[in-house]
This record gives sequence, structure tokens and C-alpha cells, in this order.
Amino acid sequence: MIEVKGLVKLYGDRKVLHGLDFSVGPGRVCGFLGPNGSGKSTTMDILAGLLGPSDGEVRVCGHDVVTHSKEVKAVVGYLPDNPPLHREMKVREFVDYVARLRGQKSAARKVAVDRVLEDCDVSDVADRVIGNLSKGYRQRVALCSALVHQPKVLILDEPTEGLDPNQIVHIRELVRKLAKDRTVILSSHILSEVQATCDDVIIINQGRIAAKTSLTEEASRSPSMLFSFQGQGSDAAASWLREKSYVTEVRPFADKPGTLVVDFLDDFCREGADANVAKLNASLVQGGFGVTGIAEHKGGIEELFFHVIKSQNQGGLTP
Amino acid sequence: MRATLAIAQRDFKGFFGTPVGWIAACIMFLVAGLLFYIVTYGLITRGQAVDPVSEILGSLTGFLNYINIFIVPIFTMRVMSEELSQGTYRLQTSAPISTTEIVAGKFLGIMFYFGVIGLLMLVYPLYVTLFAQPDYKVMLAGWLGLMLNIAAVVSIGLFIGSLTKNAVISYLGSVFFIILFLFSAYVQGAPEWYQRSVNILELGNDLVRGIVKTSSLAIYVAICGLFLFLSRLVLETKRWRV
Repeated sequence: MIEVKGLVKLYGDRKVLHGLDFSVGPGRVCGFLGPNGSGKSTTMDILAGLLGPSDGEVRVCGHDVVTHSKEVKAVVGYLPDNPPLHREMKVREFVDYVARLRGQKSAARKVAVDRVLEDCDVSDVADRVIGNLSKGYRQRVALCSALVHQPKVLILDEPTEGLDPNQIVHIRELVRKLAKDRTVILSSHILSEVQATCDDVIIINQGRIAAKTSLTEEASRSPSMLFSFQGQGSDAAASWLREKSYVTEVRPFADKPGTLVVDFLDDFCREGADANVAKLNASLVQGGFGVTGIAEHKGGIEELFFHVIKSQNQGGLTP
Repeated sequence: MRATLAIAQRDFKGFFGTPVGWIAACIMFLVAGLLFYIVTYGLITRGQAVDPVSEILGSLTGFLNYINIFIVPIFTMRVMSEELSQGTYRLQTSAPISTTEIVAGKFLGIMFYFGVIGLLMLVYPLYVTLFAQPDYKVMLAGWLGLMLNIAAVVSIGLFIGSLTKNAVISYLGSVFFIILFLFSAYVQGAPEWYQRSVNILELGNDLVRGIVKTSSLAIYVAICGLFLFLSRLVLETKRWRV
């Protein structure tokens, strides 16, 4: 669906993308995760055919973004980070205008506009002026304009930026719903955002791909927990835990001294087996190891992301 | 074509959706009304005119040609620089349409607006027909001159607007450039054809007097074509330059 090979982008002398390589298959939700200024928006602009790459090859649905940008734009729906809205227009009027821009004929347009307003749950404000709507509604109206031509690929640049938690949940549900019959690429600098909605994650940092991983694979990993201990308690606890039959691995957590990552057998933490975890926690506390914290270990992507953020901080940049 | 009309129609409605369109119209009608009063009063007191209607229309359009240098850039600034800075230009670039269609749409949108204003302006000369017999052909030529002058200023304004995201720079830059453009006709040693072509105010006055020359029409077409092409070029390179 989307293939990117050796993508380079220069702004003047400044290189912002250093040879990105990735591909996104049909029907997948792919998340671009990275700190602000890492090159996410530039990559998305290039994928949507708005910006030309300085080097490399980018294909969307088989069309090259440089030589066939019209075909690319016809199959892509793009929601930029600063949603483009004409604030003096009414919602229905605005979505209809976007459909006209994309060359839809009047009869088909009416159906398409009604459908997309319904899909994005904005039918109730269809006759209100966009400038008077709340930010969450405005975001959804912008989403309508990206969806009105039923694109095969949907590109969303930080779709939940600046929304309140309720609105975030709503947009997430909407993205999941939309992803059923199209490829979605969304960007975020918030880890939980990507974890909540995506199948694949590409971590971008300073114009380079820091990591690529699949969250569906992550989810099938064996269950794992984090235990924090006071002082030297972790060493004693590690040997105590290693003797248990249901523990597969115990290792120190790299980002935080005094903390252990403990992997369990699949059965131990499965749903409905809360009692096992409760019993283990109780015996750890009674064992006098000085437990200070117990948390679920969400796995590789989290460690990876914080590692990326941390290495950037050492470079003197703000996250 | 459909997209061009969609953009033109939206911009046209947009001018009336915000106070800008109304205030600009008010200014133009205020000036036109005052002029109408002064010119007719002068005619009545002097009591001599071969064709009072064309004289009235002549002074009106002649003066409007001047104030349009200051009014038209408000509109070109809105559809170019403001759309670039507010990001709504991205709506147009992310649609599968060419830059030419986008520029044409913006140009037509502003021309629709001034077309409507221009038609409403005809109320003054038409009012005079109650009392005198005008030459309608001269009237039509004068109106055409006004529209062509506006079209030339619009295309220059769109070009300057495409160069900057800053609305203030866009407005002042357009006014400055248009004045510079007009006055370049008086530069010593400029070729004669250049002096004749660049002075669009003079060309407009010809039309107001009822003199329609193919050469002056061609000059207008050339000026519009050149600056619209340049704006298209600037917008197109944005894709590569940012």
C-alpha cells in the first residue's frame, strides 16, 4: 500500500529526513511515534503528495508521489496537524466544498457528505458555523473533510492533539472504526496514543527510524511485571523469584536501578487468574524484600521509546 | 474546472461571510456616491455637457481605478497570504487538482466580487438616463475598463500574496508594487511600448472615453496572464522549497 525507500528531505542545507525505509500493508494502522520536530509531519506531507522528497522513492497504492501526485492525492485523505478549516463556513457547507474540490458530482456529493457527517458523528452540528464549535468537534469536521472522498489511505497528523480525555477516546474509537476498510497512518508524540490505536509502530527520532515494531506481536508476548525494591532488596528478591516454577525470566530494568523485570508463564497472568498475582505480591511483601512498587510491564516499545527520548535529552534537546 | 468554480464560489461567499467584503463595498459606494454628487452638481451649475452620462461614469470609474489600488490587495491578501498562513491552502493542495486551477479559482472569486460591485455601481449612470440620453456603448466600454483594471491589479496582488504568509506584508507589498509598476511608465529611457503597456490607468481612461483598442485589451490579457502565471510558479515551487 505504502512503500518508502531511502526517503531524504532537505530544507535548504538542513537535512530533516535521513533516508527513511518502511512499508505499510493494506488494512493496517501504522503509528509514527516520535518527539516534536523529529520529522513526522514532513514525512506525512510527502506521503500525501504535498511536499516533494529531495531523494528516495515514495509510492502510495502503486503511484509515485512525484510523477503521479494527482493519483496519489485522489486516494489519500490527509488531516494535517493544524486542521484546515474555513471558520466562517457551516459544517455541511464546508464538507460539501471539499467534496466539490475533489470533483464529486452534485448528486453523489450529497450522499457522500451525509454519510461522512454520520460516520464522524457531527450530523447534530451540521448547520452550525465551524468557528463556534468546540475543538473536538472541529477536529471531527476536519476528519470529515479528509474522508469525504472515501480514501483508501488515511493520514492523520496528531489527531488528538489538544483535546480533552473524552474527546481523545472518541477520536480513537473513530480511527479504529475507520481503519476497518482502509490503511491508516497516524502520528503522535504520546506513547499511549499509539498503543491504543495502532497495529504497527515506527519510532522516528531526528529524521531517522529508531525502531519498527508490531504491536500485535507485542501483545502476544508472555506476561511481564515490574517490581521495585528498596536498597539492595532486589538482589535477594531476584534469586527468590528465580526459584518459582511460573517465572521464566528475571532481569534488572535498565532505566531504573533497584527494579526487576519479571516474565511469567502465559497461564500465570491470563485473564481470570488475578489470584495468582495477588498471592505472589503478598508473599513478596511478607518476604521482607522491601517492595516499593509493583506495576505491569508494558513491554519493548515503552522501553524503546523512553530510550529514544532519553538519548535525545542527552543531546541537549527538550522532549 | 469544477474545482476552480468551487474555489471561486467559496471565496466569493467568504468575502460576504466576514465584514471585509461589506466594509470594502461600503467604502467604494461611499466614494462613488460622493463623486456622483460632486460631478452632477458641477454639471448642473456649469450646465454644459455633451454626454452627461459618460462624463459621470468617466469620473466615477477614473477615480475608482485609483482607490482600487488600495482596496483590491485586501482581497488578494485574504485568498493568498491568509490561506497560506492559516493552512486552509492545504485543503486545495491536498485535493487532486492542479495549481493552475487553484490560482484561476482565486482570481475568479475576487473578480466575481468586483463584478457584482461594478454592476451595482451602474446604478449612478443609469439613474441619469432618466434625464438624458446616454451612449450605452461608451458606458459598456467604461465598465469594461474598470473590470480590466481590477483584473490586472488582482493578478499582481495574487502574485505578491503568493510570496508571503504575512498578511500585512502582503497588503503593503502589493500596494507598493502596483504603484511602482504604474510609475515605471515614467522612467526616463524606458522603451515606448513598455510605457504604453504598463500605464494601465491611462489604458482604462481610454476605455472610459469609449476607445476600445485590440492592443489595449491584449495588454490587459498579457498583464493578467503574466502575473497569474508567476503566482502559479511560486505556489508550485513551494512544494519543493517550503
